[in-house]
Amino acid sequence: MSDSDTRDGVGRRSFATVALGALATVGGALLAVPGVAHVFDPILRHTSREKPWRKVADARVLAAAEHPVALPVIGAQADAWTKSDAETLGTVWVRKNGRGEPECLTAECPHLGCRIGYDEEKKNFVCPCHESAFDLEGKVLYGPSPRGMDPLEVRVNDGKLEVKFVRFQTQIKDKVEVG
Amino acid sequence: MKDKVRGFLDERVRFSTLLARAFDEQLEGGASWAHVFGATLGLFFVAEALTGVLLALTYAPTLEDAWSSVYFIQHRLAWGWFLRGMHAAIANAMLVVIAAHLLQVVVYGAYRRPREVTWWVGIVLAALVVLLVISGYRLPWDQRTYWALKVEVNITQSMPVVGDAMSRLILGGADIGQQTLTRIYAAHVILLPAAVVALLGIKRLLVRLHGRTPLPSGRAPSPSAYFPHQLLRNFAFATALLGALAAWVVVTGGEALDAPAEPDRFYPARPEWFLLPLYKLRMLLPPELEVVVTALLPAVALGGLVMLPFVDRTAAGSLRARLPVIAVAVAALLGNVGLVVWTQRADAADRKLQKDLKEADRRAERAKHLASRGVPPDGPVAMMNRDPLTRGRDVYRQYCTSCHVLGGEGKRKSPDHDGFGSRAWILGALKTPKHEKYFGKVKHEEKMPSQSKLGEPALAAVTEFLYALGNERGDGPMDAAKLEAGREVFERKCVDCHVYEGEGDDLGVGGPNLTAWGSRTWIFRQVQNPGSPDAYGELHKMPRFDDQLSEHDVWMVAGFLRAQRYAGAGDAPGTGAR
Repeated sequence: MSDSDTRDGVGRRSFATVALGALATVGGALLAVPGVAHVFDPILRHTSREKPWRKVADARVLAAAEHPVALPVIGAQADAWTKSDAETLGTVWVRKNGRGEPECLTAECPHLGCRIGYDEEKKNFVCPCHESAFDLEGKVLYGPSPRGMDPLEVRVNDGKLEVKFVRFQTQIKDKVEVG
Repeated sequence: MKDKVRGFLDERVRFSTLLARAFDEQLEGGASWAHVFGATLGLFFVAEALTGVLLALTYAPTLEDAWSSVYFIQHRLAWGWFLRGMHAAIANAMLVVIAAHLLQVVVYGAYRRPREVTWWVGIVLAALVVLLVISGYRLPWDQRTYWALKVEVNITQSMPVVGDAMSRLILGGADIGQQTLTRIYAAHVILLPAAVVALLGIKRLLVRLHGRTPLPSGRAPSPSAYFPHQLLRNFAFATALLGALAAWVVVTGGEALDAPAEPDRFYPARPEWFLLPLYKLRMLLPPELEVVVTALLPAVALGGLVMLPFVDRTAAGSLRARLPVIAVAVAALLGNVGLVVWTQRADAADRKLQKDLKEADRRAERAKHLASRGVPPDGPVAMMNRDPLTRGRDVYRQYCTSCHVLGGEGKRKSPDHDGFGSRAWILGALKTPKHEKYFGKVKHEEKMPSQSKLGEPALAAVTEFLYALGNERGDGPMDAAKLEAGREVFERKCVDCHVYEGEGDDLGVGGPNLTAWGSRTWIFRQVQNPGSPDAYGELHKMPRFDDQLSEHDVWMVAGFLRAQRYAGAGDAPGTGAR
């Protein structure tokens, strides 16, 4: 450390320190900047597309049904590099309303996303995780759910029950689509 | 504020002492560019850890997903190509820096007493880095690296005594499979890096313990502190090299991704560049002596390095006395470089090899194109097998080119397939059916006469009609008026000899059935059984293939042949995987 005692030595040393910092920054940034962009890719990439109608069952399932019917939604799905033609996307509850029209509620709980079930004795929907209960129209009866069960578009087309399957953000009062 | 933080840390973790210990080491001979290699390797190892973690966020080590996940990193994720390219480029650069470092240690005689253990730790570290690079190259599970692995596995199996046990340990069984990939992955991301970290720590301690070896010249400039001048040199060298590697990656587009690994597909395997010397020597020696190159030579070289401190017992600084050792080291290095250059030059001049590599590139491009639409859950090989332009082409080249010509390949014993089913092909066949591009080589006793006398407008119309026979769902709309005109000509001129939709051939000539001619279904029937009345019929000279090819393969070749009508028009409708 003998040269840092002289004035020149101090100058050289601080120049070297600055240069060192600059080099470390450049070298680090060379990998860190692309690296951060890489990690943030899922945040920067948004692919929200119009949801297609998906066949869930023959329309006749509702005719004899005494209770709402749980139907799996199966369809093509792209997941990272994979594209599958028949992936289970989720479950919907379908029932006939007073006018005989089909009504559809997603089985994903608006509280924290558990799969909502049906209590045949009480004739209402129940979430098994935190015990939110919903009536047949999906309104909250009791429990922590911030909103009622989310209705989905449903139609009968060519004898088949079709649903536009959408997922919604949980934990909030409003119905906001995910994706 | 700064002082407060420093004071706080100092009191609790002896911050200043730690820093001082790391940075104020007095270096024998002062700061020097000759001593940047070790630190550069350390910094590069950190860079590899960083980029490696980023790649591990996506990479999936399963036979079905490995290739696709690398495709996803390379072509979909932001900067994935760059990070993967850097991960590979830095790894290769580390091998070069290791070679330079080893050579420097040999020139300085730094392996001599009391630094033998430091030297040995260094050799093990170098070996670990080589294993890291090799294992890393196996992870994409593409053709290039799969076949290199295959050769390496067989070399391991051929080792005397321990070969079988070793290969089973690496493979996780008797053959290359899922366990192999998982094991290589675990070695690459856990075992080998952990060993490197441990040994780097030991090596650093040993270097601190013994200090630097005096310069070989014997001159000794005054010592100086590690910080800042040596550290500055280390960072300057490492950053400059990193910048050069980044430029290389940007210019070349990064590390290539070959077609997905297919265990039943021919591939001209070559090892990574740093193994080319052994590859070349193996090629130069007769097969009986193979084990000399694959086992003996690497063992002797490694043993020689380990034993070096005992071979060379000269005193410190005596450069002249150690000239023989240095000469051997330099000769070995130059010999290796020479063998690498020789192999690469010979490969570049090898036309057969270059043709095979071109075919492999074509396959890689097609695989990436298909993957851009999403890979099916059963993986990229299944994806390729369901692609008519890949699987159909393979089948075609194996079974059909003995009689048909396509793309300059094949023997002309029957109609050419360049542009088969296109308007140009149909018009040519109508005008000059006896040309050897069409039915000239098929002995029909001249049953199909030239239709040129119909005149151009009628020919064009009937061509359009015949073209439309092969239309499938997804093809664009056609000119209805023209088709109607074509149908009129067709019904007047063609159905005397040809059957169409169950009627025709009133003359009993037995001409090919033209119902849906040129469609995949027609070609499928034709390939399965050309004699069938709904295909070419009794005049055919072609063998049937329903007893040789699976139905799937016939569909694939039918899809491939139908795609010829669009040849040159890019990816045609209806040619995607069925």
